[in-house]
Amino acid sequence: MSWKAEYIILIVASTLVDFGAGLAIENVDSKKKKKVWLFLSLFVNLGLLFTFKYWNFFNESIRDTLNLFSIQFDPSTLKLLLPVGISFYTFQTLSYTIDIYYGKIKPIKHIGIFATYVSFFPQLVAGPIERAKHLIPQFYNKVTFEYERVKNGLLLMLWGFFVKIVIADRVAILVNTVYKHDESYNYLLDHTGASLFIASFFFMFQLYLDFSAYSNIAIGAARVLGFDLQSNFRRPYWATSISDFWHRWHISLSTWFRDYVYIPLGGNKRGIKRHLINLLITFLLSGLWHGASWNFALWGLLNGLFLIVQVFIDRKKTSKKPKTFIKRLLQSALIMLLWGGSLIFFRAQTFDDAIYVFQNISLTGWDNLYELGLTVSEFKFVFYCLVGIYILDYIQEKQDLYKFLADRNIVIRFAVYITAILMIIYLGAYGEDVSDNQFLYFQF
Amino acid sequence: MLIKIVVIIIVVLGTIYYLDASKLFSFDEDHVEKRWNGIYKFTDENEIDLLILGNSKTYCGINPKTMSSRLGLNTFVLATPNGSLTQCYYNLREALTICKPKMVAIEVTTLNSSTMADKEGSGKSFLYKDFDARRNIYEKVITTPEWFDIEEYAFAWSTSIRNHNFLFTNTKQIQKNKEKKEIINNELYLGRYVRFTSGIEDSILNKYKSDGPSVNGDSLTISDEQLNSLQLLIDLLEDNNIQPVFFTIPVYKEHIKNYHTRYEILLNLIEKEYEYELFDFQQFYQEDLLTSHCFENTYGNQHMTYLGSLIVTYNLSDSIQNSTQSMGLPNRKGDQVWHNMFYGEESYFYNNPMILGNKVLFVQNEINTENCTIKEVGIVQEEKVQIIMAKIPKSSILENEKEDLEVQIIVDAKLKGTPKKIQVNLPFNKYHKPGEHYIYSMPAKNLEFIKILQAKVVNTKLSTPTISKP
Repeated sequence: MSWKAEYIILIVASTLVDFGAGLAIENVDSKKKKKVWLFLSLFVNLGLLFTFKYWNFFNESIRDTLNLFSIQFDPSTLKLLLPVGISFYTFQTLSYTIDIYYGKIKPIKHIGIFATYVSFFPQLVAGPIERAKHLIPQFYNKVTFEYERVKNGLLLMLWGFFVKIVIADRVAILVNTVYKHDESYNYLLDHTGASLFIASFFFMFQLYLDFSAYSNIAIGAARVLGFDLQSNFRRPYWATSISDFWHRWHISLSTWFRDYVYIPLGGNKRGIKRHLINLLITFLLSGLWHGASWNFALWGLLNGLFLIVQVFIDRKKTSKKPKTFIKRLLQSALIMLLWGGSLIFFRAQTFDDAIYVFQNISLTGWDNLYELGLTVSEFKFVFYCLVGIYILDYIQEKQDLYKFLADRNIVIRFAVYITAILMIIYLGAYGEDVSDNQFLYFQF
Repeated sequence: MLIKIVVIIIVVLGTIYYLDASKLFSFDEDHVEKRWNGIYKFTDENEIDLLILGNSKTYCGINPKTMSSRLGLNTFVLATPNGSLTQCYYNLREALTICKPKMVAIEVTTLNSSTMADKEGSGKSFLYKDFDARRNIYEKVITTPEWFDIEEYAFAWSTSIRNHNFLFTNTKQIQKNKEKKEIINNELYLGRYVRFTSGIEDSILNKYKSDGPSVNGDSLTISDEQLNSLQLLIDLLEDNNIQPVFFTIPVYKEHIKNYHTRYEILLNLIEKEYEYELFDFQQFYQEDLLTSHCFENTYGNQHMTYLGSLIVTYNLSDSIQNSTQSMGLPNRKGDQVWHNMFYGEESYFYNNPMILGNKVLFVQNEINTENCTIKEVGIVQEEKVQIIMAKIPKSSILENEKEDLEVQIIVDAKLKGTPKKIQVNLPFNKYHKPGEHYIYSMPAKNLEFIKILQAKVVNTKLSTPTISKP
């Protein structure tokens, strides 16, 4: 994910086309003409996405397939940078025109407001992917200073920065050490057994903490400005099932795919076979949305398969027993095992790397635990933090911790705020000896 | 809300300030910090006369004690590792708030293609250390945007933020800092940092033969940033009525090719455009003196060894002394403060009379030989070794014969406490070049002179005692 000044043309083009298409869909009478405008919007947005994100992947896949049949094909490759935020704002603008087409919303006539909706800076780069129905009306509201709102926004940002800088970026050091595969050397092949297990386990938390931290910062920043963004995570590792997990993980994207892919395909209303196929298609597309590689496609398919298995389990399930803590814990462990396993495709740089991890991952060989980029004290600190986050998430399931904190007296609250700030400064993984700590979802 | 935010900011900044002031996250004092601590010890009553600016080549290549002893000046080397002229300029600004030297000598390797934005890795670390060690808040504020990107400001201003990872990676240093007591250091530190004592070895010499020079003078350019800094630096010196001179620390002759291209650029810039003198010891390379022993054993970025630095220091001293630009420089040799500061320090007795005392174990003056008078013969106690030294006035011998001569002395002495009559042959010392004498010397151990019985000067090539007086 990179930035070039001229790439502003892309977001401007997307904005203009969808603004115009929205008005046109509303103003033309015939269904056919409405469809033409909708297709224009789809063509431009998906065309941009295809050109900048999928062109090379598409060509390489055709080349590799043809090569299997000994047919020579040498497609041209585009040397394009993936423009910052393109996957997010194209989906946001697409939902706008699709919603107008289906009559769910009315188009807006103020291009400035529409442009603000597309490029709203707190969530432009990595979401949450907002819906016009939710965000656009807020731009018409008069924003005044509200102490509670601003405070809550700042607190959310503080928590986001803490999670990102203190925990996620330090977890990343170990993950990147084990999974490192650059042009000159594949470091992954130097690791086996428990090293692969711990790196994959840590990555599962890194992805969650990194992305949820970004979402909290984005939502917090928007809240300070007087805007409410939809939440993106709801303690996913305490999900009770795979389907429950997808109601808690990257909610804005999951619901986008549900509303604009899964349901239009027929959802679960057209028989079991079609239901399962719809699930697989939705998750395959969701995987490819994350990145143009077969690893992401496989990751998506794998999660689709997990859901299919659950569909069958749910069909046989008859009684609903009360959820005990032990049961929640076991469900959580199973979710993390399946999800963490699928994430190996997500994190590995190549398909071969992912296969290598699956072949060599085990719970043996813990001797070099402290040679994976983290010192002994760093490793222990990170481990305790992860356990802490996991417990906090469980408590949060039962009780709103923000409210709990807000109800304490000023001394306790200030001690918490100041400690958090000082922990970010002094326990954060940043500085000269820590490289590349941008948010993971910036690459999508 | 504003008050609450202000309270939080004050507590957080106060904690950061406390941790910075406690130096819990600092490294041990290194030569960069010592250099700034050293320059801050000079006062209005005891000013620096000659300030030398540069980079690591400079502090390895110039010996300020030798230069001070040779010229009778207070010389200080304010050079930083990986330093560029931009860095020199901002360091000079702060230095001028402490002292007002008569002359500033600038080493021109600092005029290169780099920019402050290019600095990374160890170069950036040294930049932080340099910035840390400076004390003038106003000058640091002025320097900050010129040296650092905005995201580096916190690292530049706060050691505890910059080194916060010590909490995980270097807890021993924190513990050490916690236990450290304030040490008052009265050592005379003039910015010298001796790093290399042995010269280039055969493996590197063979690499020069097989791979050729590692630096091509044709490709050495000067960035606009450095040119701009040069202009600023010269303006600053002129505004303060300080004389600038420029010089080059050499690298081994096989280390660089096409140096003449670089020399032309420097000549045009410094002598023609700015009309200041350039003493280029690379262009005017002394092949007989600057042997492989004088340079660091590396094919990469090359510095001078201790011996090499003596040669360049004396050459620069001679150049400055013979230059028209040396007019305003004082001679402090008769000054008690200067004497107290430099007496017995490195190179002092090579350049100044030996007077019996705790550093001079023996001295005999005006010893007449068959052909000339030896000014002084003495034994000087240096840090680890004694030096037997004889000084012959330059006017007594022919310049081209000096290296063939030896001073032969027969003395009543005590060797490890046992009285003996011994003969000592002192060869020519090509590294020390005081103004009026040639030095003949050799190291010794456990030797105590009682009386010189006989002395003569012999020409080793002719094997006869001979001195031809010009």
